[in-house]
Amino acid sequence: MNRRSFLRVAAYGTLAAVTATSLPSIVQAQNAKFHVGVSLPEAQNPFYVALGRSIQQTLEKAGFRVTLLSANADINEQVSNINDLVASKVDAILMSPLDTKGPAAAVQRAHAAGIPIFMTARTLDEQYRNLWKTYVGFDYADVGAKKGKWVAENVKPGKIAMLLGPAGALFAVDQEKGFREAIKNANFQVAWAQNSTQTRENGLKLSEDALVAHRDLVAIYASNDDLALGAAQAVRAAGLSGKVAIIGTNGSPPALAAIHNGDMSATILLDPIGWGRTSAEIVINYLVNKKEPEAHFTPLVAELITQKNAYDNIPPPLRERLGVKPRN
Amino acid sequence: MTDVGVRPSTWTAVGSTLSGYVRNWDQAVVPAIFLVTVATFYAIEPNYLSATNIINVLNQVSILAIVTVGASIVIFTGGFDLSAGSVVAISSVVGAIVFDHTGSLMFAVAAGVGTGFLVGAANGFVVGYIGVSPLIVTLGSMNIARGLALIISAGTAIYSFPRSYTDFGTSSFLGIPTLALVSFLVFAAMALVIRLTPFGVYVYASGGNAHAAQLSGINVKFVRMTAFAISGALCGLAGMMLAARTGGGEPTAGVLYELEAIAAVILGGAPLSGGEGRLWRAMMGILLLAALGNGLNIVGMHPHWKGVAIGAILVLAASLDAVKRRRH
Repeated sequence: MNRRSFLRVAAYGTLAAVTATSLPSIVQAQNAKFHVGVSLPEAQNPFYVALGRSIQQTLEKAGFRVTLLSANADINEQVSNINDLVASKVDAILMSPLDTKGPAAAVQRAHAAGIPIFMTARTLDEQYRNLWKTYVGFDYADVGAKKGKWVAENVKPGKIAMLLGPAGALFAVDQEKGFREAIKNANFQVAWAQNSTQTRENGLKLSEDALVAHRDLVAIYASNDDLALGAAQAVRAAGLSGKVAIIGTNGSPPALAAIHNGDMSATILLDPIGWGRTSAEIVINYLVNKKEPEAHFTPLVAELITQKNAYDNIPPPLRERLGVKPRN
Repeated sequence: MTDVGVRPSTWTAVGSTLSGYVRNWDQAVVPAIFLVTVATFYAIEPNYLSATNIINVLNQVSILAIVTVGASIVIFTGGFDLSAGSVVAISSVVGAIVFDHTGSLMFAVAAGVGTGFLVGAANGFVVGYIGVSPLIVTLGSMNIARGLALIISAGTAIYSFPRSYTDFGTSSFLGIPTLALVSFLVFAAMALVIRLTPFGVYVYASGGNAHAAQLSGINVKFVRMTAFAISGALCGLAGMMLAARTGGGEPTAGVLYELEAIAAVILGGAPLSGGEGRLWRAMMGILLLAALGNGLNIVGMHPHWKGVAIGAILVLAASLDAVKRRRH
């Protein structure tokens, strides 16, 4: 295999570049006079890296000036970031708050200064809903429900282990709720559940431990794909391949490959590239064409991926790299 | 240490050995806590002592054990290495990228270990030759290494290793996990170096009384730099072992490894001022932490309890150590 040509394992990065160049309708708008501030909660989370890059590329492609600030998971830093954006008199703020309350005062100041605010990926508590034009995001309870529904329909009843993701994070909490609700009436028992940060390392370690206490698990729920891929590793090492269904969230290319190859069962496709692009396009439409977005919430469709459609969702340039071939 | 073996009579020797054990009662604290921990979890969940789980814990501890060996040597010289976890991460990422380029596991492992060695040597140079506090130097390199790991990986994990490598990571030799064997060999080799070579003497001398060591002709600066370089290289090796477990380089891996390793060294009775300490006791410390974490996971306790338990054991062990020191 020619590995050199696929050096850019930074799959999202390549993708962002590819997709951002294919936006004819927006490319025409050369609006260097518009300055958009972007405030993201974390600089280290791959999801936000991809989201931020996609937003930035879409806006710059449209000729906008972009100031992208990341808060390193620190509320105070995000508050100062937003204050800085207000002080530099940006024309719009596109942001993803670190939590549902912390940045609210800063967002209120921005709103009072007459700056239109757009939320993406995460938003503030409902009580502040009048502060933002629209929130582009998934309904995570729905994401969890889709996963639960798949389990209820495709897995024979038994014990489930849950890798819950970070304690208290809204996306993790809502997802868990949706999942539990969806399997409530089927004969499943959540035998084991644990919070953790979402890395493959943790997925592996926690699943190894869960399988010690419960070797008869029928499914492992994971709040994201990295945890799920770690779980797949543990299941395989325990010699239980094919006996434990593993469900993640994100639709990252390695997870799609694992689903295609049968190491994982399902995931929900959350596409930070498309998400970032959609969010940026809404801002562009608002500033350039004076088009008001859907009030308060612009839902994105969460698509369930299984072995049937995993291959089609792997970006073609990455297929050889990930060693996947179409199924017959 | 006791002076067993120089007495003329066997009985006096036995007496001296016994009184030696009594005088060194502090050495029994961690093994005792370890036994209580194991017994407690076994009582709650009999599978805790199953062959599967013992292999499981050995696999999980192998990576941290290697980091702990490095941390021990640095601490014996009176240093302190906060960059360990970040070095594990950047090494795994560099290894994954090099494998991607070359398709050679040998090059990948060499690059991973080499990266760790370079970061460690740089730490050691600034500490030893420029004379900056190790706390500050490694706080800096901790951030630099983590940041660079995220930059060169574009923020996403790089899963380039073939299945054969992860199969190696989960394989066993004579029933013992291969990774655990690797870490045991590293421990044994470093223990021999510390005990039997002049370098070992220099390590303790540099930590105990740097001025006196310098006057007696030991190149303290070089010894310190070497200790950091060894620690870095071992973190690099740990990164490659982690990659063998997860199949890729994760820029977000290894978070807080340095603190677990340092905690293990302290549990092993080594003072942070250096000059004293035994490798095997630090190994006992890390084994205790691993058995504890694994047990809490298996019985489904919230992982936050792990922090509470580790903190309590750490303070208890250090307090007993302080009591003992005051008596002498």
